[in-house]
Amino acid sequence: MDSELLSFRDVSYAYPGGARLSARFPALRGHAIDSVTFSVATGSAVAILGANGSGKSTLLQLCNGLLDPDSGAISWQGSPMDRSRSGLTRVRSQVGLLFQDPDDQLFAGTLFQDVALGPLNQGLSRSEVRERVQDALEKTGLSEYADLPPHVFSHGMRKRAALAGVLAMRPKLLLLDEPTAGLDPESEERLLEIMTDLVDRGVSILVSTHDLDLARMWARDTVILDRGRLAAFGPSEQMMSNAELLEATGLRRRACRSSFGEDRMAAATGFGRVSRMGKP
Amino acid sequence: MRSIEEAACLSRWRDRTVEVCILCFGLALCAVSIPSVFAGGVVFAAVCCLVAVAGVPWAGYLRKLAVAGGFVAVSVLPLSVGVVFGPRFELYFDRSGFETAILAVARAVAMLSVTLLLVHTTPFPRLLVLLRVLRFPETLLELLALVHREIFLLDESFSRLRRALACRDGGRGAKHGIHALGLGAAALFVQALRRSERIERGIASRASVDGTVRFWEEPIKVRPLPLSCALGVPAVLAAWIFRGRLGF
Repeated sequence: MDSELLSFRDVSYAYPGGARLSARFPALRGHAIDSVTFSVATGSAVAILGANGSGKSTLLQLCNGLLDPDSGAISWQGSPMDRSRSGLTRVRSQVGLLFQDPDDQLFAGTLFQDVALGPLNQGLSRSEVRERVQDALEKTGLSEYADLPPHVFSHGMRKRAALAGVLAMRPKLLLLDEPTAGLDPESEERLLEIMTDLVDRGVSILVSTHDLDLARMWARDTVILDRGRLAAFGPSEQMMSNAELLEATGLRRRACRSSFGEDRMAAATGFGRVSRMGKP
Repeated sequence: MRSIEEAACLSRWRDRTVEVCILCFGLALCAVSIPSVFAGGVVFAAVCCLVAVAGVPWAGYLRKLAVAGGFVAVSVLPLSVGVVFGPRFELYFDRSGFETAILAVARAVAMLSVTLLLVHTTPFPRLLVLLRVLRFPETLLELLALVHREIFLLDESFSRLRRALACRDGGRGAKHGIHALGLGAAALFVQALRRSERIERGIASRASVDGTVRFWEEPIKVRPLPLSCALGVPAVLAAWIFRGRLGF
């Protein structure tokens, strides 16, 4: 269960024009991902944490072969990622990516057609495609909506529909980009159940999120990105107990702990200044 | 658009693509060849009966027909007015032009009612399946499928943009409204470009490296009774419309 599935060695990536922009505006980084090294084992549950613009979504797109790194090496199942057409098709069949905005990946006329798209691209038989689609729709609780077009769904349902599309491909590695954003607690719980079930079956999952609770409760390991660089990688418990690291990487509010923050909170809430226990 | 799509998905005839297409094709032939306004009314009445049988929501159907039909009806005015450019400029009522215009409008409205019946009863993805069976070019069908989806996404984006502009605008006058609408339309072009890039990535991420999209297609089934109805209704209608010419 601990064989290496995906590994990054010193991987860097810059969006076109990024270097010019950063020369003019230093606050904008040249590199979206800068010398990142980490690996994912089979059956692992990894959370990728980072502030806005830290490179989480870019990292996931590099994992799926959608982006080509400028330098460094990405290995899939022990060998360098094959960038030929057939190689990429193979990688993308095994590495499923759920986009942050579900509308980025829902484009067929009906839900059934959309979920069937991945398995059809994998060249599976009609009976197997049908079986996979029905299974994925059942898992996500969307079986009765199979004949409807995606635009009649709510945001939460679209997220589940997009997840069904990825699940139907039966990937070895599942990449989820902010999967809980915009979901109500019930849908979130359902998603966590699906994710836990998949990990139990040996599927590796990488989840990018801002949600520290999700990382603490669900992920075994956590990757923390800070402005495109790998700030830390290790067991989630260890990462979550490191308050300084979380504050330094913008994952926990620093202002609330300072006296200035308390003043601001007091002004905003009208409850007066909060005094710390044992202090005047 | 959205209400049409929803009506089509909930229609009683949503699984009868072939029969509905044959029916509408027959009705369309009747509509474009009607010899009189009265015959146009008969075609329209027949379509209304079919709308009721298919369970299409009346309000939405009639509203769309009124908008499109009203647009067509405006053309009656210029066609029924004659102009003389002589020593004295004259405007006069042209009776033959008016009659021609009325007949053209009757045909157009009858045709519109048939087209609206088709789109309110047949979901677009099923029409695409039929087009594929009829050997339409694959690239064109892929394009149609993606454009269909993109239209709804842009419609949603545009609604959001308009609401956001209205919130900040405070509903200040028509001039401001037109300016805001222009800004919204301009922003929509940028959004459309970004959206198409992201959809391209979405397709690629699901094992389609060369960009081809293979859609699932349910085999088309044709049932004898609905098929005979689909052939019979236009045939009976055509026989009644052209009874004089056919010597009945």
